[in-house]
Amino acid sequence: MRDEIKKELAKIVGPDRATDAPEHLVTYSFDAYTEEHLPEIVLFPVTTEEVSAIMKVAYREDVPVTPRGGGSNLAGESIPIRGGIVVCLTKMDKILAIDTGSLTATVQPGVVNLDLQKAVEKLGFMYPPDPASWAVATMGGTVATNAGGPRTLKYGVTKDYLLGLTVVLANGDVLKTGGRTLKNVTGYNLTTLLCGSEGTLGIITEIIVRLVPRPLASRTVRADFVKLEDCSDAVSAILAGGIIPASLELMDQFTVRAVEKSFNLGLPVDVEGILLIQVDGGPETLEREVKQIEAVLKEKHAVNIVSAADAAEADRLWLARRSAGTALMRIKPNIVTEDVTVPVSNLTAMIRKVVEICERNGISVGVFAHAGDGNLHPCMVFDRRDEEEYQRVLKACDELVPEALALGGTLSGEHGIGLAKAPFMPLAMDSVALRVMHGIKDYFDPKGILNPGKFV
Amino acid sequence: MFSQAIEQDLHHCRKCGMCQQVCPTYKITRQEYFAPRGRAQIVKHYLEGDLKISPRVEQALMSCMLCDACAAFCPSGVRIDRLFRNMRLELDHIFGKPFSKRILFSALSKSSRAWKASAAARAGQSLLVDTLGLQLKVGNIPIEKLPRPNKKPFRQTTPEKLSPKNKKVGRVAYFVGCATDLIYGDVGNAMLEVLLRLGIEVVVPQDQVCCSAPMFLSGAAKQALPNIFKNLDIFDSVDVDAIVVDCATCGSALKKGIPELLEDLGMDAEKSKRVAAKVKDISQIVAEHVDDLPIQDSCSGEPLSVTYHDPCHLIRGMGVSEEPRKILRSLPGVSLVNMEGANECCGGGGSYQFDNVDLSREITLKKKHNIFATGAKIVATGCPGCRLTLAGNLSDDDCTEVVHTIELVRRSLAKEPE
Ligand SMILES: Cc1cc2nc3c(=O)[nH]c(=O)nc-3n(C[C@H](O)[C@H](O)[C@H](O)COP(=O)(O)OP(=O)(O)OC[C@H]3O[C@@H](n4cnc5c(N)ncnc54)[C@H](O)[C@@H]3O)c2cc1C
Ligand code: SF4
Ligand code: SF4
Repeated sequence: MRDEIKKELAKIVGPDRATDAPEHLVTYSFDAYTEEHLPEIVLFPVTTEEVSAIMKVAYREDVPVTPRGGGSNLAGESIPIRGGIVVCLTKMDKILAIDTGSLTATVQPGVVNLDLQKAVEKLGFMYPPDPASWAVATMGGTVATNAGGPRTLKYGVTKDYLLGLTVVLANGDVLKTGGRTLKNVTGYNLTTLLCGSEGTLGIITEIIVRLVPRPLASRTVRADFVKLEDCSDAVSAILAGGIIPASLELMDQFTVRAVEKSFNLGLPVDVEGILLIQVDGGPETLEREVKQIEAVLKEKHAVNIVSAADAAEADRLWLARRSAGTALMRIKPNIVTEDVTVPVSNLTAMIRKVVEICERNGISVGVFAHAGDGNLHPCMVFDRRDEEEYQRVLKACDELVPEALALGGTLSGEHGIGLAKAPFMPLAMDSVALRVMHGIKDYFDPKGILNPGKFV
Repeated sequence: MFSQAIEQDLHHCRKCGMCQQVCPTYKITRQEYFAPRGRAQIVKHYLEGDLKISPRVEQALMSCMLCDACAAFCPSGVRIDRLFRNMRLELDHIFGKPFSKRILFSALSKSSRAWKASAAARAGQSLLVDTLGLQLKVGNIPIEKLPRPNKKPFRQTTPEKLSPKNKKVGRVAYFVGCATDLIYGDVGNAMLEVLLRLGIEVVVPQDQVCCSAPMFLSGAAKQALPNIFKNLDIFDSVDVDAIVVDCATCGSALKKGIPELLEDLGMDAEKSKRVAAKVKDISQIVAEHVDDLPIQDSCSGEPLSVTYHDPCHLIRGMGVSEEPRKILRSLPGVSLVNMEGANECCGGGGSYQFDNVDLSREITLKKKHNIFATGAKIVATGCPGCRLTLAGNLSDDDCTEVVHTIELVRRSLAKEPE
């Protein structure tokens, strides 16, 4: 990038919020994926107008722009792989309004998900999308990746709570989509189109979301299964019984053993799978649902069922699940968290496949899953300095994807496409779907400057 | 300078970013450059040879508070704090320290000099600000809010050995930190009184010197080593059950920092580990014997609301946080109110407030806000650095007193039978 352009860009935000110092650039060359690439300049705008002015210059000069929030994504979505500008939105971090009358909140993109959660909780509400990274993921990032979380099963993902957006387009135009009403069928649903677009269609500068009342109470149950098949049969049976738990999580044996090794929580290391189930709602219905769930678990041969008596005990049960990622990370320095998703009925088949593929490639893998929605997170642990091992990990990923697709699944449940999954797009989508996607991209970003090198 | 273990650690950072949520400097700046993983990346690029040492590299490292929050939290178990400390040694190696710090370090490495500086300061407090630097030259604290130095260094006011009046139940050595020696003499007196009333004999080795944490944490290992060795010799040879500290920083230096430093420098760390095994914070000892404390049995009036601030070096450096709370809960007439973010850094961080005035101020402001939200009349803590920062920033009309936990214990002691 020419120096005059950098100067022009820096002028838009002021010297304090622009930098091209190498010491700063290296800190924006990565996210939670394994690859790295340096940008040429990093800008921290604080208003929609600044973002628009930045895009006008970038558009005129054909410079790549990568939007970035917390940089916690797992698929290389915010790595500026073609250099250019990183537009970091973390300083746009104001909650602009919480309207309890219409159950909406309006926020800037840099607001951290958990900060919004805390603010609405104080008022008796809940913002359901709750990625495990919620303490660092920004609202802009969660919208741009359509993030989901443990509560997805009952409450849905980000797109289900998104009402309206302000978005700066590639040429600097400011697009407003949706609004503050729950119902809105005025034209194409651009809000949903932008949700999950991973910064390839525009830069989100304002977000209107829907809130729901906070559930009155919740109950947690853990069940251990000798056989993985029984474990996932139980998942299907619970759902078929008409109960939609808030969370329904599964851990496989490798993961359970890793957790035990690191944290000694007293988990059974000889079972093939553990389920953690949380239901929420009114106290009377909860009682009934817990009984019903326990009956199903027994019928599906759970060898041990623990129901938490109070919040503290529930917390202890969830600690096992919350520690899973951590425990796996401690086995080897690096980790790829896969994200393939299959119909719930094929969950066991997919887990068995994952383990077989990884064994064949000599890779250690632990699997935990948002079992209720078929979203698997096989975690392959390795040492990035061992290039040969890393190649085997990539090979295992290559082999996993077609298996998931063959089982009626999809490339990604919640982490997105980014760099990691881009090569698989033609496998997952037919030529018609790809053509429509490219058409949309071309319309929004004719010069291809927005987050280039990613999924489209 | 970098041991293999540390490079290995660096490699264990999977760049997940989860540490952003606990890093006080990231939370204020919202820039990766001020976040643990961003700083780790800078170190990585330096080690790989594509970043040279520069003022910006130095700023990235020196703007870290070494609060340990990231290391305590990191899911991958990366010891970010150790990484940065070592990188600071590297910086010192290449740069040398800025002039102001050199004066300070030479002062601290010879207590007599430190005392002269502080004595001079008693005459005019502004001098103190210029000379004593570290604990006292504080970018954010108005001069009039700085505590008056002791009339005489605390150590000179106490005999080498103090025996309890009643039955002896133990024997400890007291490591007197510079802060108690020079400014918070009352804390030292409270320590002695409480220990003696518990029946514990106290040895106060007279030739002990500064623990040197302020030096080696800033990268000045060379200046720190003579002090470290001297203290190790002294405290390894006293025959005691425990070595007690009233300063979280000294405590974590003796317990963790020094053995790790010596290891990282490839030196023999055996003696330091022997000493470390005996080091205890005063709150640990008091909490253990809390039921034997001769406490006033009655107390009239409104309970005094007290909130407790966890010093980084106490909660993460020494793993002590429940003990002071247990003590406070057991004091009659005290009601303990929890503050939000009690375990978050106060923004002090040794010379930090001097090097990073704005950042430090914002971090302290947050803390102040959390303290006020509790409505407590007293903030208890276990580190003179935190105390200085907090007291210096709470304004007079807030009527909030900042004390060392042990001082509250002393205030509740029953009158000694004649
Ligand atoms: C430990 C861990 C656990 C995780 N758990 C979950 C989970 O449970 N569920 C889940 O869904 N994800 C999870 N993730 C992935 C990640 O946290 C999410 O993808 C999150 O939504 C990313 O938010 P971010 O602010 O960090 O965005 P970034 O990583 O900065 O960016 C993500 C993408 O969004 C784009 N983007 C960011 N801000 C904007 C904006 N304002 N406008 C336009 N585009 C923008 C970027 O260009 C990039 O393509 C996890 C990650 C980690 C490290
Ligand atoms: S230091 Fe730990 S928490 Fe922070 S990015 Fe690295 S691995 Fe994640
Ligand atoms: S030690 Fe504290 S200030 Fe330094 S990087 Fe870690 S959390 Fe941030």
